[in-house]
Amino acid sequence: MIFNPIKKLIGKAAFVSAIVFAFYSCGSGTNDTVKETTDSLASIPVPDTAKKQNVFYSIPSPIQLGQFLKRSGASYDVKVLNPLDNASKYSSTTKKALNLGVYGADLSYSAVFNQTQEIQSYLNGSKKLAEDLGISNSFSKETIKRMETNIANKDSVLQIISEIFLNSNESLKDNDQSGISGLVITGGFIEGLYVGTRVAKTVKKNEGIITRIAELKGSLNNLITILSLEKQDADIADLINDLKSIKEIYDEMVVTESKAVAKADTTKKTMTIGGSAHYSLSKEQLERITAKAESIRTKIIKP
Amino acid sequence: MKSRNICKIIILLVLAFNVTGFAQCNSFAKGKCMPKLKPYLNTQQLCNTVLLSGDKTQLSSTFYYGDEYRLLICAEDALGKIQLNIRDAQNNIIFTTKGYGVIMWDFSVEATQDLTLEVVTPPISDTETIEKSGCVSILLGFK
Repeated sequence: MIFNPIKKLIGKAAFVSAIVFAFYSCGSGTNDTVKETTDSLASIPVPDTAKKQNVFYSIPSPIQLGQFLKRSGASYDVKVLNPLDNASKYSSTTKKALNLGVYGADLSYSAVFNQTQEIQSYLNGSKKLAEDLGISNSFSKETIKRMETNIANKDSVLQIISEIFLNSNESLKDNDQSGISGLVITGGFIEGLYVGTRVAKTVKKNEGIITRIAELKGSLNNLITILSLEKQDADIADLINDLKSIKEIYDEMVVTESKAVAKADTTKKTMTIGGSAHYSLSKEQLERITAKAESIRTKIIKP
Repeated sequence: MKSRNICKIIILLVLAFNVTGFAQCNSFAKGKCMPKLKPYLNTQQLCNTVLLSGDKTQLSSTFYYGDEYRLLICAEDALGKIQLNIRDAQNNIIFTTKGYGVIMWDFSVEATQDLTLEVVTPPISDTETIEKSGCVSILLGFK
């Protein structure tokens, strides 16, 4: 039997534990939340019913958009990639992190289209920036060796790229650098949007690609939320403003959705989530999104 | 005053635990959950947290038409039977299930939509004297 006062103390400690852990693990909490709670814990009674809600936001992997472009009949275009000689010219941590995301997206795009030479080159470019950011362990000799051995096997290459960038993000969070992790994710997202809008101009039957660009609205909102939860230094604030300028165009778009319905097969553990959604992105709105994506991307990749 | 000092000591211990706790939950997710995602590709983000009895955690994401997904929830057994709710963009629950340890579903969407995956741990019972806690990971795979 635990006495009530001790039980309450353990409850408080567990409550703090959950908050601190959430802050370290996924960046879902804010600095302010943690600080206020720990600073004032002794004076503020924590009710037994108080619970921390951890809310996370997910952004699609750059591989997803690359795969979609390939399915849509797009051809590989090496000219859309960020030139590799830029890698040694980035001096600030912000630029290095953003362009690690950009190179990661270029690497993913090249891998989806089986471009072995670009896979090797952009793997090296990404590794260089990761080393500069102190997360070279994600690009270990063993991982590079695995990539070289499996370079002709697209499925293996995509698995390895996914592992590398998952480990990079986790290493940054381990080092209390979730803001840097957010920049890497942002770089990847903007590069994906840039490549998508460029490809939409070159593919004849581009309706599917334009729809996908429109559908990125929700992920853009999630990305803005992720960055907004980080420490607001000038670079991140500037980036959020840039992303919000794209969001403003997306917000003009009419979206018509029907109610979602889940149809589950409990034996196979499979499910189809039904419903319909229509995104009315006008030609003029697409042009403005394309222009914004290009200008933000140009700003990001400029040494 | 005495209870305040005890509280401070406990908090210091808890903070020390969290440094290792974070690494432990990452190991838990990578060791016990990640292998189950294959052949799906991970989304390059790992969402781990420690939940107490009666806690919940959420992951919001856009799910794209044409992609196939694997949803994997991993929780430490100490937490008991966890509940997964899938909520639509209007916050209505469109699917719910319960399970111990691992909940895994493969799914696709007929139209691109924003969904929230919510994981809830069972509340502390009247007979229990101490709250349970454990790692919970929400992993998404795609192909």
